[in-house]
Amino acid sequence: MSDIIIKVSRRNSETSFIQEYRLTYQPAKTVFWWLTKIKEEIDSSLAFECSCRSGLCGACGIKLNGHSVLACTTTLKLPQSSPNRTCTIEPLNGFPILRDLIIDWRSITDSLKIKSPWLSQQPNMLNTSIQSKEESAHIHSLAACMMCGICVSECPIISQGHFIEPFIFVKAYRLISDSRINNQQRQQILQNVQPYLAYCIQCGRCGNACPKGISPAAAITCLQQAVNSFQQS
Amino acid sequence: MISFDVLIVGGGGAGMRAALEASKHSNLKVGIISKTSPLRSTTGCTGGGLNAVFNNSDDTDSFEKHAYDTITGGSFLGDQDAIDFFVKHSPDAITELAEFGAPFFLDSSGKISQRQGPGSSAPRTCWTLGHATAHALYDQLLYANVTELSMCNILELVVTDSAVHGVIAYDSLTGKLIPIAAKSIVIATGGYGRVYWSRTTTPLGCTGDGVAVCLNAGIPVKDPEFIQFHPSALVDSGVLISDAPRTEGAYLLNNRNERFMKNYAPEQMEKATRDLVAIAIEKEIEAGRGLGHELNSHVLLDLRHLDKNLLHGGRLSQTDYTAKTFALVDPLQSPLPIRPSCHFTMGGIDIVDYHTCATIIPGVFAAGECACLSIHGANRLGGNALPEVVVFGKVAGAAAALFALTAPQQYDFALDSALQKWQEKFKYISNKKSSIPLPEIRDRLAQTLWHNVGVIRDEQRLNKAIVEIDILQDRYTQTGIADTNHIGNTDFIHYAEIGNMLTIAKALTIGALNRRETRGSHFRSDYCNNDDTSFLKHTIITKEDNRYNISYRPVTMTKYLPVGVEKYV
Ligand SMILES: Cc1cc2nc3c(=O)[nH]c(=O)nc-3n(C[C@H](O)[C@H](O)[C@H](O)COP(=O)(O)OP(=O)(O)OC[C@H]3O[C@@H](n4cnc5c(N)ncnc54)[C@H](O)[C@@H]3O)c2cc1C
Ligand code: SF4
Ligand code: SF4
Ligand code: FES
Repeated sequence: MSDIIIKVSRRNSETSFIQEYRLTYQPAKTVFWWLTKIKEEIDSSLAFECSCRSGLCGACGIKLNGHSVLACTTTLKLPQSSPNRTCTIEPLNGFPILRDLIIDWRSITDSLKIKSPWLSQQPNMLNTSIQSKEESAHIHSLAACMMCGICVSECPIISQGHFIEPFIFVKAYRLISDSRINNQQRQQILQNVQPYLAYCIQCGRCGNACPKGISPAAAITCLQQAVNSFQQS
Repeated sequence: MISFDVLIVGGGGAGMRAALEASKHSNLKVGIISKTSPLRSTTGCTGGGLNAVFNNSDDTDSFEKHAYDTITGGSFLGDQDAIDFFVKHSPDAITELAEFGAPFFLDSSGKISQRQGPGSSAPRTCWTLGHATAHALYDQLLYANVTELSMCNILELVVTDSAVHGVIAYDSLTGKLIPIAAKSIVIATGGYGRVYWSRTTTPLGCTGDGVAVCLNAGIPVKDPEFIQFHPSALVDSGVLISDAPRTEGAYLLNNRNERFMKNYAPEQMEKATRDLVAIAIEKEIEAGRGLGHELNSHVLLDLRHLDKNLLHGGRLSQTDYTAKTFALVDPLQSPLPIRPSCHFTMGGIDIVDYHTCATIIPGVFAAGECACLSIHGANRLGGNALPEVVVFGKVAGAAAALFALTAPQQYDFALDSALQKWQEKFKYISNKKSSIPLPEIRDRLAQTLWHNVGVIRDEQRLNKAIVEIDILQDRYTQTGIADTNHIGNTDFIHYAEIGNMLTIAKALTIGALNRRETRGSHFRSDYCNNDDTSFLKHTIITKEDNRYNISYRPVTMTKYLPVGVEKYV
């Protein structure tokens, strides 16, 4: 069996650097499996996050060779094209890093509180009056978002500082699509996201990478249409 | 020093619901700490089924039926007053989740659609997305007046003379060991399925930390020997394969290509109950008719003869995805390597009053999978855990708030000295070279438990496990950690987790050894029947230093008497 070199970006409070680990390649193993192997057999100080290890919870987003993916569902293929059989693993873009590959979700929570546009609404805004099956299916497809942050990492606009996390638009669209909220609430949500909509360049990278097949870009388009029709009426 | 009136430990469904309830008192300072972000808790990756009587699909369903199914599913070990309370509060708790934004699957009239689950006498399970319970509660948490500290781990519950002072925690973000003072505390840290490490369907963090810190603080654990084993998880990764393929007609095959269920349940075959299928698979493996070795031993789940449309977009799409993603197997081409895995832990922190979720220490409450009320008794019905989590999370949050309103502010030498002890410990272990790697202790523990305190148990194996756990506990004291960084030290977190798992493993084994009967998930091949005369009672285990004491408490039976001898394998 041939060797593989896995370059992992490391970061602690003092420094950041790239560390190379050389391992014997095995087929059909996930990135999570490789990270665990490194941690348990070579270097226990490597820090990464995984929880469900079954593609459900969204904890394990990383960048593999530049692409944002879930570590637990992505198989590490032997990089044939690369002459020295190297692959790179980095933390997601667009988030504060706690250590190595771990994102600081606590700060994200704080920023969600500030940025989340619909949070100025009262809780319990969804009363349980009945809803059609079709509408419910539409909402399910958006509620599938597990807030893994992969769309954030892929978005080229985020780093400019005035945009908000693409998954926030998915949530906003999910809410305005819900027949159980009233027009005033709907308008409030739209007002809150509206200032950000125009920054999106509709490159579609968010949706292409989303492990749940959701398109934040499409959500943004629909929100824009809803804003327009509200303004007309 | 950080201090709260009410501190919630654990950000799963139980913890978040408790925090929301406590925060309704605007004059109370409420905090919630959790090892990972609340979205990544077990509640963030479930199957999404919740049981409640709504009569949406069946007018004849009733609280009595839900209660009776829960009681019989738990082989009469559940406390009937608590179960009665649970089933009556479950519908409101689910309605509330829907109001919080959890999208339930609806029927053609737009009401929550209800399906019949295994062990239920009526269509009662409401389905939402697997992560929706956690996300709905999290959205509310963002509104609420609660300080959320994720990536913060409890290490010790500080109690002196039956008075709670607070906790010692490791804050991964700042890299500090911190004392957190609190007037009342809700422990909601989830189950301990990870004691079987690779042989569990539960997330990596289910190491029973809360149960262990409570045991160490003098709070007993109840019924720890009751572990639910799901018959089918992928052998390598422990990722769950649901009952659906067996329900749809998949075969179970041994290494002779035989449908071995014919020897265990000739009529029901693969559709037999989870317990029976799990026992059958383990018996095949023990008889040398499995494939693979050691923890990788397995049998095959064969779906090749099933209708392609079931897998491609039909009822088995999730199985198809799981097989292809995690076993890299196309289930229409080759059979899946599966083995039973620990799925849920019925035992937990001993709750002495289900109206408040109180433990024996005033001011310490517990809810969710870490707690044992007991609702599930000797085995849990699918779809009963999530409603339990929200129903009793709310109860515990309300009671903890009430307690905090009248409790005096204590100050706190106990916390200082506990903190100092942990600081010294951190220094000591980070300067120490391990004679044995930590993961090896964990894996040996898992192996010991799987072989001796797993699906099939007997006196000899259980005694062997006690000896091995003692050896591992001793080895553990000789280990250290290699990561000397303070921030994000996952090595240290895992060190603490392994210590906790060893603590629980011993209690679990002692409980299993002393329960000389078979009941629910606890299968003793040397005592094949239930023995109501001697064992229709809760195991209560306490720990003082390193001594474990076992005693028993009667089951509360209000309406239903046990049916007598139940038939096991
Ligand atoms: C694959 C799977 C599918 C399931 N499907 C269903 C289903 O369909 N229906 C159903 O009813 N039940 C189901 N269950 C069971 C159910 O999901 C769990 O019992 C329930 O989610 C437990 O919730 P909890 O709040 O008690 O704990 P958890 O959700 O596990 O949360 C525990 C919290 O405590 C934190 N924590 C742990 N240790 C520490 C520490 N040391 N310090 C600080 N915080 C800590 C964790 O980070 C987490 O936030 C399923 C379980 C699994 C594994
Ligand atoms: S939209 Fe997709 S990529 Fe973005 S957070 Fe949600 S699940 Fe992840
Ligand atoms: S489509 Fe818009 S939101 Fe999506 S990645 Fe491109 S710029 Fe970002
Ligand atoms: S660990 Fe949960 S999605 Fe990967």
